[in-house]
Amino acid sequence: MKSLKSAGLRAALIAAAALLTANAVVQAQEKQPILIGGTLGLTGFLSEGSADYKAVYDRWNDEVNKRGGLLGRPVKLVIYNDESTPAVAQSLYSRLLDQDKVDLLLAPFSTFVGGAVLPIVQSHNKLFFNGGFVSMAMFTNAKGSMIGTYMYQEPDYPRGLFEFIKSLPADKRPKRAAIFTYQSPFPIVVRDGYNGYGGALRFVKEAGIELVVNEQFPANTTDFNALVQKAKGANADMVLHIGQLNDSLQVARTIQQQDYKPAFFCTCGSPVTSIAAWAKLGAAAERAFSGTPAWPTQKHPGLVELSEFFKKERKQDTLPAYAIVAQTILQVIEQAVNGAGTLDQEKLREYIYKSEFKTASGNIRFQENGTPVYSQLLLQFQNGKNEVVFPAKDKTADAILP
Amino acid sequence: MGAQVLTVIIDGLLLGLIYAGIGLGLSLILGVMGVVNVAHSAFIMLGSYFAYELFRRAGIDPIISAALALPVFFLLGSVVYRTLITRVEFTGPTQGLIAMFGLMVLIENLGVIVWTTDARALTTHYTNTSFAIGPAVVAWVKVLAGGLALALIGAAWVFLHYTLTGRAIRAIGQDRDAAAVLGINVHQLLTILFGLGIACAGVAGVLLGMIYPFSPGGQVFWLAWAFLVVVLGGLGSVANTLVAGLVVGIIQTFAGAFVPFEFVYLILYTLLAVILIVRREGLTSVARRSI
Repeated sequence: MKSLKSAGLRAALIAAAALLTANAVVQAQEKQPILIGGTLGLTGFLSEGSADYKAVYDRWNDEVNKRGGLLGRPVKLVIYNDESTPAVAQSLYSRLLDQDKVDLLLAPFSTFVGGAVLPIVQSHNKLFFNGGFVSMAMFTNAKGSMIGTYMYQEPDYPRGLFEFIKSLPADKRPKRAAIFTYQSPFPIVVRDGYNGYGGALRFVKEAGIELVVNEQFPANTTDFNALVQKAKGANADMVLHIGQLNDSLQVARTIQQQDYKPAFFCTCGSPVTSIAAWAKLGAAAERAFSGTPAWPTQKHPGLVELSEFFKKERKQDTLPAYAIVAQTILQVIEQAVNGAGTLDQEKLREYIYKSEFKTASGNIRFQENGTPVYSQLLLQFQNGKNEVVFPAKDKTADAILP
Repeated sequence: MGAQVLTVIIDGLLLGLIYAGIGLGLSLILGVMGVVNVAHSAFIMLGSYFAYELFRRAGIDPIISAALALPVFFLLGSVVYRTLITRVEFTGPTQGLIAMFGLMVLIENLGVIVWTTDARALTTHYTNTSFAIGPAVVAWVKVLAGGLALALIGAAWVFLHYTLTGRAIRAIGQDRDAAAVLGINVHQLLTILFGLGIACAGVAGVLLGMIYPFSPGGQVFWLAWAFLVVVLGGLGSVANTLVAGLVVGIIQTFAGAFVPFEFVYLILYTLLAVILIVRREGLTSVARRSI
């Protein structure tokens, strides 16, 4: 009888110990950080925009952990440097998925790099949280597994400008257009549109504007004088420059140096007028148009704070458009994980498509291809800063036109 | 049409002077020493930041900075020669190339650490101004940069042809061993030559910074231009470098004006390929040419 009691006691103790151990293991697992991985071109030609992304990511990482993390677990961002090179990014995404086994994936910056890693992500059945690039073709191919926070895709980049032009009296509208396009997948689709939709060429035609110059330039172009001369020689009163930062800076400066005064000059590719270097151009920066997904004056959730952060910590007076998109994707991740209560990719996907998210880009819902509904503000650089000039409900100043 | 041709010629000449300025230092170092200095563009980048910092901190005009860059980058080049080049000068060409490539990566990354990856633009009171020559509009900043490049090239030519040190350097370029036998202190003169080459790169960087926005990552584009000028002009020759720069500038602006812009670089690099094929010599045969 005594031995029976003793055996029972032993069994109870063993069971209790096992339970405690199991509980401790579960607790330890629960306290394991949630890994969110991705890459950025922290060196190479995409490094300037990537640095803005990194600043937003790091800030959010600190803040989300101060708020208690996600699902009660701390959050750790694993961001590698892809050197602005697709091949490097491909191997790093394989590492993130196969070795680091990250829970959630962030897209790299730029279509150039993003296109190379998408097949790898898709082969692992992971959701791809994309605040890094636009691509109608890739969103279509991803069949809803890529969640994007750019508020407009390539074919719609010049749309805000042309909607603004449509709102002008006929005598204020441009008559002759010149288009300069950077030879890269993203700008080409901005110019040509996608599957018969959008694109600068179509917008120009629909607006009844004569296209007098349509040129493209390679990535290693160092001098744009000949290009600007062509537009000036053709009396174009509208110049649409569809490119990246450095080439946009040079074209703006060359236009000024040539004493060429097109009524409309739009940097209709990357949203460069919100980047710090733009203001340093002096007079050459003035009156340039550019699109942006949102602006601090709209006071969307987190937008004013983000703007202050960039002023204080990054010494940037203007909030870069990239930062808004980066903040938005992180807000979507946070709200989706907390709302769905899980990291399960299928359940997250289900939650994302039926929910509305309150973000720096406004209240957004996702269409079935993973992109948000179109929304764009048109900026014009006036007296050393960006002003919203269209649409009317958000404008902070009237556009300056000759 | 006449206005366009005039504009193209003026712009091509000014651009050509700047390209010659970019290629000069590379040409001297490669022609005399046989060192393929792929870090040349990194020193150009440093030159741009040198002007940027002097302008931002002390309001010093880039024209003054171009003059200040000469001694500063000469010193920097001399230090690099003594600490790095002397160790790889007599090794195989691959080792030297790798060492210079490493130096380029090091300088670019230091640039990123110090100045971040952000693009910078030097905007002075004359940057956005221009003047007319007949129907052609010419940017003041290009005239100033082109004039400074021409002065630099002229000074280098005078130094190499009319000073004892310059003549001795040319002698080393023609036959290093014979020069040593005649009592020329080769080691000392090569230190001066390398310093001079880097000084030219520094000044070229100031000139480019006056005209174009720059960032640490953008420096490699200028390396291609420098090599194009050097290969076209013949290595080690100051006068030929000037002619090559002008030819490249004129071809670029004419092609840009009269053929689709996307073919401009194709034309220039086809020209480079043709020259390499016709001359049937690579960068290793540079010492065969005299300066």
